[in-house]
Amino acid sequence: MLFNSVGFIVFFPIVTFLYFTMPHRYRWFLLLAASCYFYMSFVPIYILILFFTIIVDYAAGRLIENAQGKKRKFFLILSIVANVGVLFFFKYFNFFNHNIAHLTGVLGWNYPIKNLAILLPIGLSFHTFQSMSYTIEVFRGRQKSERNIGIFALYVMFYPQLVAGPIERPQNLLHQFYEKHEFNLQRVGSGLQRMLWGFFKKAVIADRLSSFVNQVFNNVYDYKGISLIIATVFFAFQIYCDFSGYSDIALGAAEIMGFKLMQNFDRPYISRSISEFWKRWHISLSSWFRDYVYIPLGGNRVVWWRISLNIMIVFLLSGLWHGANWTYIFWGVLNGIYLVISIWTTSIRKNISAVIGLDKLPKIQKIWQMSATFSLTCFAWIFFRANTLVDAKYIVKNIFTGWSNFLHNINNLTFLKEYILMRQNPTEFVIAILGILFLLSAEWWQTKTTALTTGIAARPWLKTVAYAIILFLIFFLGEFKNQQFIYFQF
Amino acid sequence: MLKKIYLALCILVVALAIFVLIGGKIKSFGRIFLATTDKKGVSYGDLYTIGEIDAFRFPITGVSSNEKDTIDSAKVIAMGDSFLGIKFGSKVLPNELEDDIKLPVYGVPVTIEDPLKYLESIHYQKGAKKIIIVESVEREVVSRALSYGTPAATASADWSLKKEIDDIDYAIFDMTDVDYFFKHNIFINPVRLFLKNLNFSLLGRMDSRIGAYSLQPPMLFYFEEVNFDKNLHNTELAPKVADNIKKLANTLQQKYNLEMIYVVIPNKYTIYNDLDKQGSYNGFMPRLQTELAKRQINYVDLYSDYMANRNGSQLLYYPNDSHFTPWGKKILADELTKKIKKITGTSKNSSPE
Repeated sequence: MLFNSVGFIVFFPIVTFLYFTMPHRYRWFLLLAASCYFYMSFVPIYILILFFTIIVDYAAGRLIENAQGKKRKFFLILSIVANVGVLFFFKYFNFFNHNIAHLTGVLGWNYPIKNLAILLPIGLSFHTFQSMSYTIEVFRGRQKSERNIGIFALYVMFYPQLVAGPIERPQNLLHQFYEKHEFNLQRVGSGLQRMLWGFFKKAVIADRLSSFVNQVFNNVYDYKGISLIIATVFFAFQIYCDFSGYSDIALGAAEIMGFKLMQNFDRPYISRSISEFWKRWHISLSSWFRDYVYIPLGGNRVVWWRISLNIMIVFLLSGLWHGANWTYIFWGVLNGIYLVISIWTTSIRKNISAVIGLDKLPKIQKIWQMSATFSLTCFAWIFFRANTLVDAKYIVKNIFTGWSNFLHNINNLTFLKEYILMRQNPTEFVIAILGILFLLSAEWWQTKTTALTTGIAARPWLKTVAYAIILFLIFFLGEFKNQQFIYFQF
Repeated sequence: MLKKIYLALCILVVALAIFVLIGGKIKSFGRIFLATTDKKGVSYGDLYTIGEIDAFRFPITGVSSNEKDTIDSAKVIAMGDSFLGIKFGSKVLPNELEDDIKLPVYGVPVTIEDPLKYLESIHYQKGAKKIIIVESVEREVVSRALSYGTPAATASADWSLKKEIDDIDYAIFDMTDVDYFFKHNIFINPVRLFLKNLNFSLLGRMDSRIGAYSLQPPMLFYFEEVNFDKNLHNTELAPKVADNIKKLANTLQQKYNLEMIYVVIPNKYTIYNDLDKQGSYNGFMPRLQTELAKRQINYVDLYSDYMANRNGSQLLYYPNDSHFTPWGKKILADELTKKIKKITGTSKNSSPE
């Protein structure tokens, strides 16, 4: 069930209504049943995979807590192997098998294993990572094991964040299922506002941009220069609005019922460095890798080359987490390289800034750093979105070509429609640009305290009017083609 | 005061959700609240139904047709897509053809992608010689022709338990009816139509499945037709398509004793693309027809006929539908009549009995 579907518009109010009218002791069961329904509305049979994960990690949690010494580690490893095994089988088996078959073919060896005809369960990487964080936290003694398997199942399956996160930690979420949440109109209003903002990002911006992006990335060899740049920048905003829009809807839906989920995005495109970007983008995943991979590998308490190696390992895994495709792996590695180089060159860059006097112009320095970080991020997105590495290579080679042709045809309407508008309606292009500008201004505005913001805060009806306008804009300008969220596939 | 409004809105949203769920799942209840604006026997065209813009709402009256022939009793078999079954303003093409040639014509009532797979599925046996008309709309001809004779996908086992599970799955999880009821109930439908028309009048925006439109004269174009021509960069496609059509003709002849007449109905956009300001056509139809002629395939050159008649007093296609008008249909029927008469008249020994 997609958040941007009629099914969810019907499902969510009914579940919320039942949640608040039901006695507290039955609420967890209602949420669990609703979560099962939510997940089964995609592919019903795949609920069995979730049940497997839940049973394994519930048992592992109990066993780890009650065991002593090496046995604790044994149960933890067993649980990790089971989780990673499921993930490998459904997500990576065909990828590795295909590549091994290709390699053996090149070497002239006979390789008999065929690819499996399996579908990737929606959100598998999300709930597997969430479940794994529970056993690791129990092992580390930072979380008591959960006795009620129903509550634990709900922790893994809580429907607002089941298929695309945020990847929660047990310390933040588990206890909330025991707390009694009263109906609170102010909280409902705040949650609804957050959901509306998420729907706006998804329906008005992301799904509109997807038409431009898909046209170019699915036919890359027809385009050069400006078209490739527009499509890449549009994709940067598409994926941001798509994923952060989903997170906003998830956080808002949970908030209405009284649950507080962790923030997943914090205006990533205003980052002034790649390391800052990764503190603002998909925060729940970045912090997962930091806590469970980077720090156990030694983090930054080791020698310089080990730090670099640790960073590269984390980003390689992050790329692989996103998908079983070389494009994602390359994207991850590229981000790792960015980060390693940025660490190595910190003092050099500082010196250059001082020499050219940029450090004395903080505003210009800020704009330069933000632009550079955004450009590097966009460059990496090429590999993330391209259908193959060969396509990505073509884009990289041709992104700065074809300018003379563009300048020559700048007055030619047919050329502009084909290569700037990517065959879309000019109105759609204008709405897309205005949508991006609106997004950036709204995000900037949220952080500022101005006379306008304090004025609005003092007059709740003004805020209501603002959100009523957003609601109107969603229905008026939104694209309703039941497009799946990009991150569902991970 | 604001709190009371919020609370009332919350209650309203929950009530609406329950109403939509019941209306979508229990059809007898849902029908009571369904907004019906169409008159019985009158259609407003498939493209209007997609766009739902009042400026293109023109009634099209249907004509009833009867199929009295069977595939065995017919002398001419016609199969293809919805163009064969369209009964706006005049009888369906097979019936009209039957009146013209005075021979029993059987029109297969469903869309046939691949005639060979269809004939195999009904266990059609080779018998006396017959004529088979294979029709395809231009935008589908490439994919259809390239799939002729390829092995059919393995059908899933007809396992009764699986079917029962699928039925339960549909009843519990499928939201298609709920989605339809949400959009078309008497409360939401007027608002939805108002927003769509406001969008069109203020921004010129329409459903993305309408690829282009013109207001003077009114004409809607389906997006697949608008994009079809632009996506055909591969000039080798037409020879490939023609090769496969030739193979199809040979197989039909040898395996079933059926003599084929091939019909490609031009996209509406192919004929009227000048009504779109940025419209153009790179000439797939003439290219394909040249290749068909090279291979001596018996085909109807409807493209030339339509181009010759496009500026006449009557339209060849409905402004609000992707199908041809009775005039467009008649031109095709006349051409087919000529072709059939030529086959039956020139070679008496091999003519259909």
